[in-house]
Amino acid sequence: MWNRSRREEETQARQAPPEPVKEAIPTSTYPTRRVDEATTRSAAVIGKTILVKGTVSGREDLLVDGRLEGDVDLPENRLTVGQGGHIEGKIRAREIVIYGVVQGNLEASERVEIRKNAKVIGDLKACRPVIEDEAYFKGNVETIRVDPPKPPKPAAPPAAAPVEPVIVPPPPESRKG
Amino acid sequence: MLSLAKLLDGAPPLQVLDLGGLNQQNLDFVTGGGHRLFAEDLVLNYQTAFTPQERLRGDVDPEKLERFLRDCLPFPDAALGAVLAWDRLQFLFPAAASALVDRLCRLMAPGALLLALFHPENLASAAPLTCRIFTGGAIQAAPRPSVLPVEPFNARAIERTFASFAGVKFYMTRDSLQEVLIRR
Repeated sequence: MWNRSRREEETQARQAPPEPVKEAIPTSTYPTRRVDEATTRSAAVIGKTILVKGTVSGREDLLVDGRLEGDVDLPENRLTVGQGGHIEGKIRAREIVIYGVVQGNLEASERVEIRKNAKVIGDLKACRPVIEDEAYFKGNVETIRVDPPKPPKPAAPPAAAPVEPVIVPPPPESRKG
Repeated sequence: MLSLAKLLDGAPPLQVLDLGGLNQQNLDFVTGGGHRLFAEDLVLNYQTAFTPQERLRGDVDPEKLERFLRDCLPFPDAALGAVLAWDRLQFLFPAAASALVDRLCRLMAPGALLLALFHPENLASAAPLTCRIFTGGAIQAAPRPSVLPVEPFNARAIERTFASFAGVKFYMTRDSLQEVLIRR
């Protein structure tokens, strides 16, 4: 009896109509904060209870959620200052994203993002500075202008050879008949 | 505002001071023209620098006032090419507003422009405005959530306040705000 009912279930399952194919819902590919969090997962982390005094430099992304008293130098990487993060010192990085507090000058070869409720006191130099409403910023902002690479100039045409004067023979006299 | 936009358009790099704090639109407008923008939230700094009693009484220790001015305006003389003061002067007690204007006069280069907005003089309180400059010099002003007492300024009071400047021009905006353009 048990086997029979199981068989019946199997046959029913086989006979069940396939689920209708759902249409793909278009989703935005615009990066969101979740993406930011995901990318910082692979970064080195200065945790919430950590205090660092001194210069920090390296070649990997860094998330600061603790307190850092000193300069940061990550010329090829991204620095994220988390909501609990506090940095007192100069920052130089490829990208800087701030949710917490920074007292010091910022320089980024690409972008600086100052997010809502972040607090920044210092001068900012970046290619693309972005500031959200309700963020506090005090200091100078300067945009680094990156000139697009100029297309190579087309090779100059070879200097034209001096043109020799062309002697045009006088037209033959027309004879009037 | 158009005069200010014209001043910034095509001029050699200037130091611009925005006393209303920083927002993306003003940042793009100013730095897009190759200028440097110094952002300062004057009202926030004022509220931090002085106690509510001091703000109400309106007389403070001159040293404290000087500290406030130095903190808000850390520039050498004649360094500023333009100042966006918005409506912020009205939220200071008269002695602080007057001292700030005198200091700005010293810090602005000859020919520099200052843009200020004034709420109608019958108002006792108002919300500081977040002003955003869009392409072409159009301004969008939106009140902040907090309402603060304002010092009334009529046209004569404005002229007296900026008496040491070279010229004052008045414009009326659609929001019954008075827009004033002051040339150093």
